[in-house]
Amino acid sequence: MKRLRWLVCWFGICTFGILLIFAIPGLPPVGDVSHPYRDLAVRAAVEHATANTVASVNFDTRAFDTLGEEAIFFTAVLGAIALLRPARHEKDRRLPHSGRVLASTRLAGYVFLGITTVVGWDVVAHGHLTPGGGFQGGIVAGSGLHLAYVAGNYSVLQRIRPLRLLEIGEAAGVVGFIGIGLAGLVCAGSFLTNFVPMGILGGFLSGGTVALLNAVVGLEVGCGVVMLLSRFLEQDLVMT
Amino acid sequence: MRSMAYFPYFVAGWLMVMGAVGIVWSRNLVRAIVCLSVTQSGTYVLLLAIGYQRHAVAPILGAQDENTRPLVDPVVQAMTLTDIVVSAGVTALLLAIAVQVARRHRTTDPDQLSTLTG
Amino acid sequence: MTVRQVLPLTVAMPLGMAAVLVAIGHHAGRRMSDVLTLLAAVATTALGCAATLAASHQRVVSWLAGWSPGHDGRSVGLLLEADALGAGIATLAAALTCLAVVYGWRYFDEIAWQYHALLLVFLAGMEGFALSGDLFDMFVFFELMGVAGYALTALKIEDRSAVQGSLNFAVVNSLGAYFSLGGIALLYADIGALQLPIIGQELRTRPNPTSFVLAAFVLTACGFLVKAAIAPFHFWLADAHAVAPAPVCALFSGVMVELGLYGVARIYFVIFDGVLPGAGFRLALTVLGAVGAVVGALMCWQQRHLKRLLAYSTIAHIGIGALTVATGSAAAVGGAVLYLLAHAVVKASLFLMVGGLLNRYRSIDEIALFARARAARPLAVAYLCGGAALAGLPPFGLALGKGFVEASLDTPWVTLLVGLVSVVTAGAVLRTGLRVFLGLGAREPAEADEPPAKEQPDVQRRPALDHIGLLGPVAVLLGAGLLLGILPTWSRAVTAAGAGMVDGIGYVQAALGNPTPAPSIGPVPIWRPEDVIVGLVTTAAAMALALWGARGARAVGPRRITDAVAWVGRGLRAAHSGHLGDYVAWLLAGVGVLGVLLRLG
Repeated sequence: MKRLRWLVCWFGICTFGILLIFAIPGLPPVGDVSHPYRDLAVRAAVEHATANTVASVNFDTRAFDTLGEEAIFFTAVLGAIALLRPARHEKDRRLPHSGRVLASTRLAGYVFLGITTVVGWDVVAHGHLTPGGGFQGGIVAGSGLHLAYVAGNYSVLQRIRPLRLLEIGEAAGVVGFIGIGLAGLVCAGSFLTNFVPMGILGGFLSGGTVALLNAVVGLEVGCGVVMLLSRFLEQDLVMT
Repeated sequence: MRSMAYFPYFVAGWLMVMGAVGIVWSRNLVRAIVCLSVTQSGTYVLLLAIGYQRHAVAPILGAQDENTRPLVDPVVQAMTLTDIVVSAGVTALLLAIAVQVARRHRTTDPDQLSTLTG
Repeated sequence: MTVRQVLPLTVAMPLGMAAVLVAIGHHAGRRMSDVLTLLAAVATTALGCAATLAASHQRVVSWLAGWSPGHDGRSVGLLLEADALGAGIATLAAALTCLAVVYGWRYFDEIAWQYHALLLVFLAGMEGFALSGDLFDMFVFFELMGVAGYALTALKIEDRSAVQGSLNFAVVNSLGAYFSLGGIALLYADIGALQLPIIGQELRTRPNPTSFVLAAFVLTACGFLVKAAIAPFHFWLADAHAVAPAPVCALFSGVMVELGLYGVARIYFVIFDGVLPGAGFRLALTVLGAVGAVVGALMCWQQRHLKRLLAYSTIAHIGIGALTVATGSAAAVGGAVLYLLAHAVVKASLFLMVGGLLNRYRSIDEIALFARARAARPLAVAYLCGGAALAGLPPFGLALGKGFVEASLDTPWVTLLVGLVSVVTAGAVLRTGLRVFLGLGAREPAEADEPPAKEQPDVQRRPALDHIGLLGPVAVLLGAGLLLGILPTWSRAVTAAGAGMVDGIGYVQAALGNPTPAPSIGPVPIWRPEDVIVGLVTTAAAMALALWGARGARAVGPRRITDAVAWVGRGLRAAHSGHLGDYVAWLLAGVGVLGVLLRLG
């Protein structure tokens, strides 16, 4: 069958390549000035006083996409946790244990644990103003927690991550997104409408629901990533 | 310069095809999953190349003279962000499945997985 | 609140309930989790019904977050647009989820809430995909549906084949989705919009090099073709269907695969119709659909694994759907939708029945189950009815839809192909029915050297085969298949919904604020005498084939021909190797073949 695979694959590469070679000259050259959707999106961001136009697209004009995106992350965490459960004949797995850690490593780890968490939530909080937002900040804050494992040992990490609470926090992130959407439906007549007063462009309190949605997404992603890693860390898998 | 103006698109196409070819010839499932991410990286390059404008600045308002200098397209950046999150989720789930494949089959070589023939 | 305003709740409701289940799952207990899930699914179904009723008069357009288009016809926001077909499929998805929850009332004891949450997210993904009017949104919900689907497929982690099938499913589908995203990016670069109606509007008003439009279509359609399991993108389907829990299989075969074809038809009629060379589209989808139909039928006949057998039959039937959609004729597409809907409910019921057998007898192998289910009379009747319905027995809706397609196309080879595929796939299903439920034919098959098909059951108990949780959903589904053929109002509504799909311009105009009433379809499906006769003949032929197969399929005819048939059969089975690399190679080649065929037309 390898021979067939080889033939099929080469046929695919060649035809795919030809398809692209003929199609690409039909595209506008890179660096072109015409971006009609960009013009609309920037105007909308100015209208709603959201300095970070990417956040404006993600959480205001195309917020429904982002609901789907958040749902994908939520589902991936849910699915991975369900799939990484111990099978029926398996016992609970051994927990990972750390080796010897230098004192300097330990100090650096704990210092950076604090810094990373603060930076992560800062990125979430300023998502409507500067590059970043709920997804980025949530990942930073959530994975930063694992410095406790790198610097100390697994039991320290276990103590600072209450999995039950994180599970609820993750779900609350999704419910919160939908709730803000419903509030838009009730107050302004359309799901996910940005109905909160917009504030002044560049101010911390600006952008209306963009900042709120950033916060709930940050909550969801931050909690989700810890849950996800917790299951992967307990897999004690020896591959040869 | 005309050919250079299309170069990023060809890079994107190359990444997409090579990621797929990588999956075809992978002898390890984890490698196949990484190759899938390579294909997805191709879509990032494609999106960002499409949104780029020469001499434009980052799509953040209020920092400086946004009235005189254009911004690059924020829509493709938002799409790329969504794409990255999708990729992270899919990759995590795929790795979880791969862990279970390794447990059940005692191998991660696709050539030795043989429960689904015919 | 108008239907327009609450349309997004079809996605938000199941998703929100899934999150609630995750939050309270540990404490809620299994009964609570069952009830909440059913509640969300029923509410979504009700919403879907309301949307379908509204959309059958006029398309329901919902620009989200208040960003409706300005005078230039451009908008910065995104929209959900429900026409009768989209809303109908969304309703079907929700209704099937209800039945799946009832059927799986006590599934996965230890992780019940996770199973239910995944089921609800899967529903949310399907709703979003069916109703979305935005290309990128379609990609996002395609992936949401995918991620939930992969997890559901692998949920039986103790099963060796389940984890492998899920991996193949996940990699092939995700790869297809990424190619689709590439296509979406190409369209965005050209038009500067993501909303289907706006792209459709703009693409028609400007000249575009054919090679560019062609590549954009091939790439965008790639992911949807993978989901629709059109050959050669179909390999993952049998693996995933064979291993997923039975209620999930019913959802996969009943809605998810159809959604793939729906996505292809949607983007073609709204965006590419009149832009892409029409002859090329017809040629490509006809060839791929016909190949899929033949391959699916041949593979179906050779299976002993009951769920795999049903999965290949789905591939064959969706292939026929594809070649009908290729014609672009409103009446034929309407007929195809009736046919595929009736097929969906019947196939879903067959999956549920086979799942019942697996749970009861701990086997999914046709030979190992020989005569085991003799006592289960009601189930036997239902199973054989389902098989006969697949063959085209009047008055099931399949025969009516098929007859209507044939009447509106009037091409003899299509009639012949549809007939043959029906006979072979239904013959295979009936063969298993005769063996398992009636104990007819030979106990020892000719190919006894093959190891029996194995699968882990979905539940640890052994539920009885006359349990209401099994027979109830099965009866509802078969009844729906029957009513689609009997009630003229139903068949007419379904056909009209399908025919409305072809009207891409109407879809565009409705979104931009110039709604047109749903187009009136000319002829309506009626039972013509020749349809009844053809239906009876194909059913008789399928029954005869089934009896011949059950008796060990002793070769008849010249040696050389039987040898050649056997050789083709073996070759096809070898090509469906279960190897991830093979599947991805075929996917790459499929993209190429699609491009070549489009160019040739």
